[in-house]
Amino acid sequence: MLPEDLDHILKEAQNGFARVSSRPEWEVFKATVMGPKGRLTVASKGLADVPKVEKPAIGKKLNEIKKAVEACSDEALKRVESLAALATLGSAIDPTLPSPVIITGSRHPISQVFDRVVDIFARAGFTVRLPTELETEWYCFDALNSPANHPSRDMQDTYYMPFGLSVGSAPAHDEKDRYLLGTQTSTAQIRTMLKEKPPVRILAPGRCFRRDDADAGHSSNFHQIEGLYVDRDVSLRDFKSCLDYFIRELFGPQAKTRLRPSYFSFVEPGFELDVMTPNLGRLSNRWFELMGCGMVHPAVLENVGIDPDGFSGYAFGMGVERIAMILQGVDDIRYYYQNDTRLLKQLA
Amino acid sequence: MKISYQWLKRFLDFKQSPEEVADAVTRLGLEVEEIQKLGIAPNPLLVVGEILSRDRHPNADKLSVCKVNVGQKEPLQIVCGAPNCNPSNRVPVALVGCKLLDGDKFFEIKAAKLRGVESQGMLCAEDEIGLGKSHEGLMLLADNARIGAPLHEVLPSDTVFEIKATPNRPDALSHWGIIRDLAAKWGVKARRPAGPSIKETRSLADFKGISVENSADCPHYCAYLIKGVKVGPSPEWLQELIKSVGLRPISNIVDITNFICLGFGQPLHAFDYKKIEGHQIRVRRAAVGEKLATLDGKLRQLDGDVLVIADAVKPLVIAGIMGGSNSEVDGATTDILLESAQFNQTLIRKTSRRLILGSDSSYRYERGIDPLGLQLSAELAVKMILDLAGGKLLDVCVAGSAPYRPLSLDLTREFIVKQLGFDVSGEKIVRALTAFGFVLKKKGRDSWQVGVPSFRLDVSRPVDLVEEVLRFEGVDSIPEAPLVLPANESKDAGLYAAVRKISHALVAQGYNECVHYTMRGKSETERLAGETSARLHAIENPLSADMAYLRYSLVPGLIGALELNRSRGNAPAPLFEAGRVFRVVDGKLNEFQSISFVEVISPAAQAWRKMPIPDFFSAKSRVEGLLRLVHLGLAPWARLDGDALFQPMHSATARGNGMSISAGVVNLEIVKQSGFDGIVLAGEMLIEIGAFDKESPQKRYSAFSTFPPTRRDVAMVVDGGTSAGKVVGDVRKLALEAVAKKFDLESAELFDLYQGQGIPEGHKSMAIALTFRSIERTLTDEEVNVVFGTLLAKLREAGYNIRG
Repeated sequence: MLPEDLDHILKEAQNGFARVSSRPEWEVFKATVMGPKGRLTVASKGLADVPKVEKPAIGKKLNEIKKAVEACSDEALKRVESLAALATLGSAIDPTLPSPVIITGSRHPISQVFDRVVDIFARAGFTVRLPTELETEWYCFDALNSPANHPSRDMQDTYYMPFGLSVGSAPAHDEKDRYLLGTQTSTAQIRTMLKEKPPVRILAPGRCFRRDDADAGHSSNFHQIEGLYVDRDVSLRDFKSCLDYFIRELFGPQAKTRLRPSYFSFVEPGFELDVMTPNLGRLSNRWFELMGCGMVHPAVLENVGIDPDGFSGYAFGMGVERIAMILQGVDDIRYYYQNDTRLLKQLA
Repeated sequence: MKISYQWLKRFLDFKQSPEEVADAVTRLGLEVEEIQKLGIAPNPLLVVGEILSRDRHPNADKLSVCKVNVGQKEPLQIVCGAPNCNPSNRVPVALVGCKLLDGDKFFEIKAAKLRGVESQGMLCAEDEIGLGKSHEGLMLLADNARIGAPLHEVLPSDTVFEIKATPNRPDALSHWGIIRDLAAKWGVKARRPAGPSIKETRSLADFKGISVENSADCPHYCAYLIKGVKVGPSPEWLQELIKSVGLRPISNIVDITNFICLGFGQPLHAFDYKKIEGHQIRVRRAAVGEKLATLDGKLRQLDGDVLVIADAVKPLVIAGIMGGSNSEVDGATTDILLESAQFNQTLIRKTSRRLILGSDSSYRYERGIDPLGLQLSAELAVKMILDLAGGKLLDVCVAGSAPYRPLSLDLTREFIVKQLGFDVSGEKIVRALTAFGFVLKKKGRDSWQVGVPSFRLDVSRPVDLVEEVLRFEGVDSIPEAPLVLPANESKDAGLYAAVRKISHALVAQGYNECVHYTMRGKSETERLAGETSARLHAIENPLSADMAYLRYSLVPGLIGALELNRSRGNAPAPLFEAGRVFRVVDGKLNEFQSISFVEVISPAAQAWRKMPIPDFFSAKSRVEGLLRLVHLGLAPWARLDGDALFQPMHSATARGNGMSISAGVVNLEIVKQSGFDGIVLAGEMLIEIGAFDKESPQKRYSAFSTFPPTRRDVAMVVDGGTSAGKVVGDVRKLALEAVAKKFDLESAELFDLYQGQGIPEGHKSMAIALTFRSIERTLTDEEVNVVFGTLLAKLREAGYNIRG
């Protein structure tokens, strides 16, 4: 056995392994080199016949050749295995073919506003409480300090349920209390404060009802988000800083706010919050009304058993459709209830 | 409520422009909804001219050539086509260079030859100067209009604000109310005109007096008898004011009552005294069957809920709301009885609403009037009547008294500062409250007793005074500060978080979220809930029949949206909605959270690659996936065969954890009723409001095996009606017995369902894969085979026909 023979075996192994294109071919060829009767195996057996003086040199050479052949074999195996995997993938794709299922789901524009407002207030530590839609006169009016003869209680303005209806999901205040469809999410203030003691810092997104004929700006079914914070020593200054924060987050840092004295039975003083911002289409650079708000009326705190001398707070309530229309430029509230998928997808 | 700028100026000296007034009023807490300019825009080239002469145009029959004096040295020659360009008429003249509006474009008057005759301007009709629409002829100005004066100085001009006063501020429902606030804000003194004080003088020579049936309806009623008045037009200044707020001048008497009502907030009524039978006033409830023709020309049916002012025999006025034509002041009236009264707020409001009859008077009564303003206003009205219509005050009769109790509140600076959250001095507090008419008595350093004026019906607690200080100082005085809040040791309502998570998952799966009304129609509700339960869904006072019931399910609304989108040619898209629905449980109406999704089942549209057609199982797997997302498990599914919403045989339900889930093909009848033509697949998750109130516990790790699993498959032929749930359940139960806790049965899952060749008619084959594993060693084939053999024996014993 000569070193030249070994070189020859290596050369043939290299050529052979380079030619195999599948695992069976590789196995067959490997046997001809490294199997029990393979040429390299046979050659190694020949080492015994080599003269003693040459043994170390020939032995070393044999080891080198063995390693090289094994490396060559391993590489060939890797190559044929990836070829096999590639074969299962089939022919090249045409990426311009249309997706067989086009996934274009969309969050409703109203829900998007809910999400956005809730998230902004979540960063200020307001947590969500859910109002119910079926409510009672006490929770919707009396507890919120609305005068007994207030026009909004009229059958003309509020949807009532028949007297004597029993409801499992929202307990009434007493037997005389009448069920109605909630006219404001402020009811969540009352239910929360009766259950949880201050500090209370909540946001109540929900659906409300007023007996309005539908037109571009009115819907008898609409959505509101109510906010409430009651704690020790909450002042008007705190109230303003909270609303300013919200408006900056919703409309951007250039948005300006203006509080205007106004009236809601459950706050005193009460305000309308106006906003002006430079980037809102035709609403740009002029004041528009965004929400009612104010300091929680002491009578409301008394109604839920909180001492108004020890605690104070602020509350605010905004119309979700109104914000949606302002932000999204939709000019008819009824579009939100038609669910034309073109609108849904446009605003998604 | 309309407020006239000129009217304000009549009682308050100020230089602020209408825009500044609007801004101040807004900042005082009254909303200015609209600002309307009356009169014409200033234009120096539009002036008063007097026609000196009129000659026929030599070349045109219909044109005249006029000489017009516009106050310049020489009269102008102007060609005119109007029929009334007669000498001595004073008319608007547009001089050369004057720009006038025609439609939405300006045109300029030029010196020109008209049919060969020089014309140096234009004589104008009303429409040409932007006043009204009349093009009948030249607009004729007053004979004393100053020649050459710019027209806008000669014509009356005003700015009218449409102001919305919040319900707590009835004191602001008059020009005087607005003036009071402005004067306070601007630090100006306003002068309230008044008549001489009038004491009750009950000669009763003629007038028989007032009887009030129930003082709760009418606590205070004053009547003034004036004889010998001359009814005629009111003076020009009064007519202009009345016109500026959109009313029509009627006569001096009526205009004065309107002037007092809109000027000072006290509604008044003037009767023709001679039409009052028995010469007496009765304030009483109407009798059933009584009728009154009101001044708006309608005949009103009255009943015991309506308060009327009557004479000895008949109703004359619906109290506080509107007079009747039977006692109306007219041209022949010489004697009047003037009413100034206070009525029950709630009663007036209810009556006004019930009769759908509102007026300037009811608007104020139902919000509340100043109990002490009643006589002041009447005295001024009497003085004005005597001044402008003549006559003599003969009798003054009063029933009841002003329902007024003086109120005073204890106030400290400390309280104000605490509420505001920033410092304000004692002097500022005093200045603010005094300006708004409060009377302060000092009790100590920075503490006062505050007397509330009679017209501030809204102030009853110290906190109400915080707003007064703020209104005076301006809301802008609240300093800006960064938001600083302590952390909140509470969590979002569990239901909110779950619904939001599920909704976002559906969006990610290609569903489009919809929002529909809660109010639905009767027939849909009856069909779904059944007639008895549907009754509990009914709203007492719906606006329309198709929105009279609380919704039972979101699915019909969603199907409506499928139809709307199809009718508009939109590609079919899967839809979902999350919202509240109502169900009767144990005789009680209950509100549930629902999340429902729908999609149309239709053979795959033409596509380059075939997609599976959705069916019950796609809805089932979707629901299960969504529930896994919010960590909720369910009881086994059962076919839903008696439901009105879903199609029998093709839908199923599962319950658990405060939820009821249904999925499958929507009842074909419901789909049709919802207006859609097709087959709809739906899933409905009905969740109790409190289902997520309890926080779900933290998941804990439990050890799993690191040894390999061993699988065995068993196939059985069963009757076609046997459910997979039963077969798999049986196999699992018997396999557990066979394993006898020697190792674990990891799963038993159905993987094949077969009907056809080799299986007898009416039967099916189910194949179930069993996975065994041990936590402590690799299982040997032998030990698994023993267990498997035991299982097969048990299955045969249980009557199962094992295949192969």
